[in-house]
Amino acid sequence: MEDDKLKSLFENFEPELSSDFQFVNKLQQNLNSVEIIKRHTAEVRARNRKAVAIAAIVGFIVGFLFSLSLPYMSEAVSNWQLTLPRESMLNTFADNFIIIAWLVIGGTSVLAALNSYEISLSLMKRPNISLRLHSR
Amino acid sequence: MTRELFISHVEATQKAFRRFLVALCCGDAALADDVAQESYIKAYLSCDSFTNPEKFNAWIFKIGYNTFINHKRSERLTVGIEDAKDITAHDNADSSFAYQDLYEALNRIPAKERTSVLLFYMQGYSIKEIAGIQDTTQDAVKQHLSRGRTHLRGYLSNSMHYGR
Repeated sequence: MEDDKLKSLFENFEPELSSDFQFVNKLQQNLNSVEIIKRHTAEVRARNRKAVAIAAIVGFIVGFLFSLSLPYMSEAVSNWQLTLPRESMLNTFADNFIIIAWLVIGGTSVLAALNSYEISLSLMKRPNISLRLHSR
Repeated sequence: MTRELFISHVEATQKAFRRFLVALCCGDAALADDVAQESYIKAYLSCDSFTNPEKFNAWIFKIGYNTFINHKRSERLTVGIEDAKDITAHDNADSSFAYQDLYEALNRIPAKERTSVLLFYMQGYSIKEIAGIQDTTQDAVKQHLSRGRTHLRGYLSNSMHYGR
C-alpha cells in the first residue's frame, strides 16, 4: 500500500525541464568541443610517435656507424700505444680504450637521438615554416 | 558507436535521465542539467569501449550517479532545507512549489538512499540493476531502499502529494 503511494508519487513526478531541443543542442556543441580536443590530442600523440621513431632511427644509425669504425680506431690506438713510453699515463687510456670508446658511442647516440627528437618535433609543430622554406 | 547512434541514444534516454537527476539534485534543475551534460560527454568519450547498446540506459544512469557523487564531493553541497525551498524558484516557480515537499524530503535523506529509491520507484529498476549502477551489493541496496522508504514516508506524511 505504502509502496504504491511512493510509486505513484514518483510516476507522476514531472518537473519542469529545459526544452529537449535546447538540451540536445547544447550537448552537440559540447561534443563538438570534445572532438576538437580529441583530434588535437591525437595529432600531438601521432607527432610524438613519429618524433620518437625518427630519434630511435637516428640514434641507431649514429651508434652503428661509430661501432663500424671501432676496429680501425682500436688498431690505431694500439699502434699509437707502441710508441708510448712504458711509464706513460696514456697507457691506461690505451688499455681501456674499448670501454671508453663504447661509452663515447653510447653517449653520442643518445645525444643524437635526443637532438633529432627535439628537431623533428619542432619541425612537425610548424608545418607552415617548413613549407615556406621548401618553396624558397 | 558513431556520433549519430550516440545522439539517438541520448534523445531516447535524456528525458527520463534528467527527470531522475532533478529529483536526485532535490529540484536543482540547473545542477541536474550540468550533471546530465557531463555524464553524456563522459559516456561519449568512452563509448568506443561500450559494447552493449541495449544496456545504454543503465550505463548512463551509472555514469550520472557517479558524476553526481563527484559533484557532491567536490562542491560539498550543503544546500540546507531552508535553501531547498528557493531552488528553481526563479524560472519555474509553479513547478518548484508543486514538488517543494518532495524536494525537501529527498534532501533530508542520504544520497545513496535517495538514488536507490529513485531508481526503484521512478525508473523501475530491479534491485540487481540498482546494485550494478551504484557499484554495491544487493543487500546494501535493499537496506538503502528500506531506510529510504521509511525516511521518505516520515517526511512526506503531511504532504498533499502523498495521499494524506
